[in-house]
Amino acid sequence: MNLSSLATGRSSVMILSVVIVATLFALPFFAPRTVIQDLFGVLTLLVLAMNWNMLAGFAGLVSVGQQAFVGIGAYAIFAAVILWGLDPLVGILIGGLVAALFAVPMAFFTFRLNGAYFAIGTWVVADIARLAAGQWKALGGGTGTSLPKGTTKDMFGVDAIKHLLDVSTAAATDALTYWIALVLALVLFVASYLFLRSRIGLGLQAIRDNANAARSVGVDPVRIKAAIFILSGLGIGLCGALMFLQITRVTPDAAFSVIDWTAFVIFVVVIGGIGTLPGPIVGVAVFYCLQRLMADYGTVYLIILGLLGIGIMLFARRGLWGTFVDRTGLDLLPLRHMAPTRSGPSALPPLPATQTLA
Amino acid sequence: MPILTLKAVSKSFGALKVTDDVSFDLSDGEALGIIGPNGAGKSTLFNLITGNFAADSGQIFLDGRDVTRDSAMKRCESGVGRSFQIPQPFGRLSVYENLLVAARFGGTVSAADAPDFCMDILERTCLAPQADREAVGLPLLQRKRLELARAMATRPRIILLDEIAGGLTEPECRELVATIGKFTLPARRSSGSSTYCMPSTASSSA
Repeated sequence: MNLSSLATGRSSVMILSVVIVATLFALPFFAPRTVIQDLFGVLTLLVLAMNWNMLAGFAGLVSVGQQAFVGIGAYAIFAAVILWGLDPLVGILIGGLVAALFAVPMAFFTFRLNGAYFAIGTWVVADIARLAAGQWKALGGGTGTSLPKGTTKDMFGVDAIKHLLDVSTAAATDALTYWIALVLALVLFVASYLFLRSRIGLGLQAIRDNANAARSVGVDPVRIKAAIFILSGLGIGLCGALMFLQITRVTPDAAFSVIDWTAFVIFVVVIGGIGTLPGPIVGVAVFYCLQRLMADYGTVYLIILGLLGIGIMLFARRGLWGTFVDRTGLDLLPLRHMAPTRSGPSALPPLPATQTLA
Repeated sequence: MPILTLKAVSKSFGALKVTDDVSFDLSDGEALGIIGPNGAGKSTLFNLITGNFAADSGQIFLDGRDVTRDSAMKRCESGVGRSFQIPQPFGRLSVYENLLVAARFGGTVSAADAPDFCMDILERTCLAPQADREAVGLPLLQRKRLELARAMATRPRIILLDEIAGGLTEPECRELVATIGKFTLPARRSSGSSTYCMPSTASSSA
């Protein structure tokens, strides 16, 4: 593929993305409420998938304990609303911050472990968090609790949206949570791209390829991995708080569910393309389509999804997106730093005379 | 003052004493060769100097400063550059990016200066035509060159070349030694760089 057609390809994709994003923002103005609710689920799954992809795909941290951050975000927003009487939107921020804070000691303990041990270790920590949440009597202990009636109605912005869209309060709440999820997904996507293109991101890719060599050129693997782990705690915490604000009911088992918040997410990322930036988007799209197509056959879609996951792990290890890029050479979001083309004389001093070594 | 000093450095793996009471000074601009049969502990000595292994006893000084307890990352920033005996490129990064990582981290080169800085080293090591290629598919000589180039990109004051010519043919070896020569002293004497080379076989010690 030559450069000019690649450039045309990129700009047309750029225009297409802008159109899609604009449509997604405008959707609550004309789409039925069920579509908005469905898309809310898709977007939050995408946020979880992008976070896990950064961890496992780029930082090599295969965590099976990300549900800890969903649960902590969920419990934090319920505490903020029920116990401290704060606005749910402030509660979402608190959920993210508390989850990020929790990531610090979690990293401290689990980073001593490697590979499979790290996976088990994170799972254990998440389960400890689940059991601890079950002891929180003020939030219902093991049976959980609900947000008081009307909480979401009084949320900041709901009234304005209600008048703007001319819909019921419940629909306005859905629109608001949908927009927040959309902004969260977009911000996360752009931030991931900028991060991977930055100096730290380059160091991260070097660590992924060879940690020992990375250390010997001055890259500190632990520091960079810890930074990613804590940032993903923030992202997942925000997402968890948002999801349970929309559900309006929290229990330890639902909030810290390894199946819902980690296992599905792993499948989505593996199918879409682990270690590629657009992979999670492709994976979420496939997941959602399968779920829709097979809706009448119960949980058959899970079996199909599992078979698809196994097939991709065996035959297309870089997932659908990675395979597409490998086949076509059409990488729409290249992370590569291209070497500068130099024509003029070197800017640095000329080469010295050759000296023979002893 | 010597740039690198080892004082009675020892390292054992279990009952096997690999490095036994090694002491030497290396002064600015000096090239030092370390020769020994396989298993003599040459690479271990290197790993002790670069901080990949911790010494059991003894001290290592860089510019008179005790760095015995410093991590490998810290020593790299202080000016210890190394190449690996078996090339360890960042496989999925391009040749250019391999240098960019080294320059931006260990070399603390600014984002604005890094592209030119890296390209200059790539030209000197004859890797410029391969700059945008993934490092994983390079032939052995090019991978050896990349090891050297990446080590140079960390702006080392001392460079440790671990069997840099190992596995190369005689002409390839001469070519590589000529490349190494381009980096040695005159160009960097002003900044106080010294070269420290470790050929282990007769054919590679030029």
